[in-house]
Amino acid sequence: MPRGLPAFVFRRLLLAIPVFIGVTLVTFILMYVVPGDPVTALVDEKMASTDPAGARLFREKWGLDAPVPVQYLKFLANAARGDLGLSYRSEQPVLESILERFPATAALAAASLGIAVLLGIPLGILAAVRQNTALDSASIMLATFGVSVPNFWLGLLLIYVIAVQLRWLPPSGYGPAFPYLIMPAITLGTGLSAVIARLTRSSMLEVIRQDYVRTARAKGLAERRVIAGHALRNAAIPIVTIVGVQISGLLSGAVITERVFSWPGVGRLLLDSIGARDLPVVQGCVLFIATIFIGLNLLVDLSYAWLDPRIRYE
Amino acid sequence: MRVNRGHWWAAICVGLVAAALAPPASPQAPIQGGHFRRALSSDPATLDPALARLIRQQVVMVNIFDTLLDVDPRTLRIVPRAAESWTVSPDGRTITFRLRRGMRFHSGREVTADDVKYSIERILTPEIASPNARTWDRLAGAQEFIARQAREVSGVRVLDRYRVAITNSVVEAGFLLNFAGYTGLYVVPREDVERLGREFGQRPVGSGPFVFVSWQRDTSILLRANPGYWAGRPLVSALEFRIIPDPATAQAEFDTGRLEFMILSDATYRRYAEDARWKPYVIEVAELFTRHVGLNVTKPPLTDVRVRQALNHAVDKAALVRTVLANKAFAPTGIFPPSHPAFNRNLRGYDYDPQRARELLAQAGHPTGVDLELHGSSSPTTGRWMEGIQRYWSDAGVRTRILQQDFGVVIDRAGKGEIPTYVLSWGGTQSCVGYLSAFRSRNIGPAGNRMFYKNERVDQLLDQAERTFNEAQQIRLCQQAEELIVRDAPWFIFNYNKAVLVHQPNVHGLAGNPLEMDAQDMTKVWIGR
Repeated sequence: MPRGLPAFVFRRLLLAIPVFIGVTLVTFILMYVVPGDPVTALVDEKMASTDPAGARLFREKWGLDAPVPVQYLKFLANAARGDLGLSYRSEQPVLESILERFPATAALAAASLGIAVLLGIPLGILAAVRQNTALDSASIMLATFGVSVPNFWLGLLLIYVIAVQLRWLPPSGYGPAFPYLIMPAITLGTGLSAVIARLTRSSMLEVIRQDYVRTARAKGLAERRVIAGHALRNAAIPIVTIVGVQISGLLSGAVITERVFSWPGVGRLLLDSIGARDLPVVQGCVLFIATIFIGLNLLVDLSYAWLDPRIRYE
Repeated sequence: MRVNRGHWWAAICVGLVAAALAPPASPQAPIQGGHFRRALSSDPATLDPALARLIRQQVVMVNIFDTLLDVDPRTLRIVPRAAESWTVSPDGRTITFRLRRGMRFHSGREVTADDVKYSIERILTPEIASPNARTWDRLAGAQEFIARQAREVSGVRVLDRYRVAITNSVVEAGFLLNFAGYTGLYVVPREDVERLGREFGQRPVGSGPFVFVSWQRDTSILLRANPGYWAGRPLVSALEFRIIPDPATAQAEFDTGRLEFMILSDATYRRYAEDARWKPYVIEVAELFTRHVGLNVTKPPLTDVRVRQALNHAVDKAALVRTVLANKAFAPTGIFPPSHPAFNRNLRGYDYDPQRARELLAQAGHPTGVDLELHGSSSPTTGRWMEGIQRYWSDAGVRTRILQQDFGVVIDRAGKGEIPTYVLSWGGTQSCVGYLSAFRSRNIGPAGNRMFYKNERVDQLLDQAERTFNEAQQIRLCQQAEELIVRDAPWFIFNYNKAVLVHQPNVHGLAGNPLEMDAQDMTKVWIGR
């Protein structure tokens, strides 16, 4: 085990605590600052009339009559025990609601990332080793397109062409990877692959000019081995960083893609809950997403030492 | 016998005559079976009648549970459902229902009058904090029950196994509607509610035409036909509610045959209504909702009735319906849409007369016009309406600034009197008194009268109508109130929405429902070949 690793991990986990408190506090404050009373939203959907007595009972039932700081502290104390409370709308445990939807989010994230990495890294490498050629120009154009095109537009275009016109795949829904996961994964993966391709290209360009790469070539190594064994590994750190950030984003739920393809992920749960002022679910989702970000960032940081043995943890 | 040419011609003539006289081919007979798929725009979250009050919950629940009464969508009249008959006491405060014998919950037990009493008391139980409690909190004894001073609601009396008498503490002509249709009281079984606890809303048990099977969150809810339903087994075998949040995706699902029907929006209406292939399968009806801009009469310049009347005269509503709404609405006259029993065909409303609008503004002391904020929700559709209205108001001298916010925020602020105007759709009831409740001074504020409008004569007429059980008399009183309201113009009345659906060619039995197009009677629906 690298020296200093346990202390490094412990320090990072300790630092996570103020991060959790910070994100939940900001979310709590925002939900109360934003206009629109959760009681009105949940008790009077059509806002056709209001019921003061009913609103009072609702507040009592959910502890909303307590002072806001007390409500927040109670939430924190319960969350520390793993209890994220109950949804105002469904009266189901928040954690259960999130975990029910996480497999869908994880499947979409894995498929999208797979497409992004399998497309983006080779494209970026090719563009770098064939710099200033037609291949390089084409890959930059493709990457620009991928980054520029909005998710919802691409998703709806895929639905129209592939599902409605060609009838090759169903328009939307949740089910086995084939046929349901393909279009949402392409929709999400296209944009991500563009980002990975551009970063891979610029990172590789820096590395392939280094002396050790020239030395490797001079030693007579095959070009493929020079690129994959020497250049790519040294160019990997920024690529791993961006992939890590993207995984975190994907696992937080790709709201637009989930909505377009009726994919039942965490992003949709969060969006619906914000609209309905279902505070426990919003808090739970935010905490869940923060946990993912912190965990994945830690893994990314830990991977640096494996990629570059010069990196130490002290 | 030799057959000659003459014989052939005779045979041909006889055949032609026979074909001409033959009765037309009979239409396809209803077919049992099939998996009916329809869309919901978002997950219902709960199907517990005590906790649910959204349309997307009610359109599912109405298939799982029974209400005591129902509403015929063609006539808007109340008809029997779980209750085979009912009587109203002379003072109008007590309704006695007689339940059908032999109706069973999906768990097997017979539905009895005790279940009706339990269902009402559960809603009123303070620990439940039901959003539906206010529908029942005027029952005799309800307040004592809610205050935990009584163990039961004295106004709900079980007379025998199949009869229950329900007494209101006030006289309300619309009381019967609380038991009817998809917004009515759903009867639930006590033992299943107690066994399942909080899970009851996730695994509901009722006595309705369909039995709950499964619920995949944010994906679909599956029901199967109840073979023992008292009105006969539904024709379709399974009913699936697919949760499809994006309207464009829902349209793609319908076009690929993966949904049996679809509600048409402003954006999709023309495509199907004007397409010869789909037109025969489009069903449309004037919805029981009036779209309007509420005008806060306490905020200048809206304090002057002439300014409010000018706003109504300034807009060519028929033109906006044609252009901005692509004919998916009806130009208005009064408060009640044409599908409402109280619709007054003699009420003229406000003609498009920009000259008159400018004159009224000048008479009100604004010869150079006025400035006005127009508040509405952030939906693109509302934005288009507001821009259309803004153009006409500006031409008449009303310099209009559009402000869009989250719908909940707009309504909240309107109820508190913070904003001068707000865009809203109001209605949803065939009770004329209920429809006009937004104009009663006792409802000022969030209760519905966000215009802060007061007219004593309107209050008197509606109080009287509320205590009148003769339908024709009640309608006359409501129409008198409507005339006064239209004259006072606390609303800019914009249009009545057209509720429209399109269905697959092999689907039969769907009907136009002015109350809620999404609330279809699935017992009458079938899927042909």
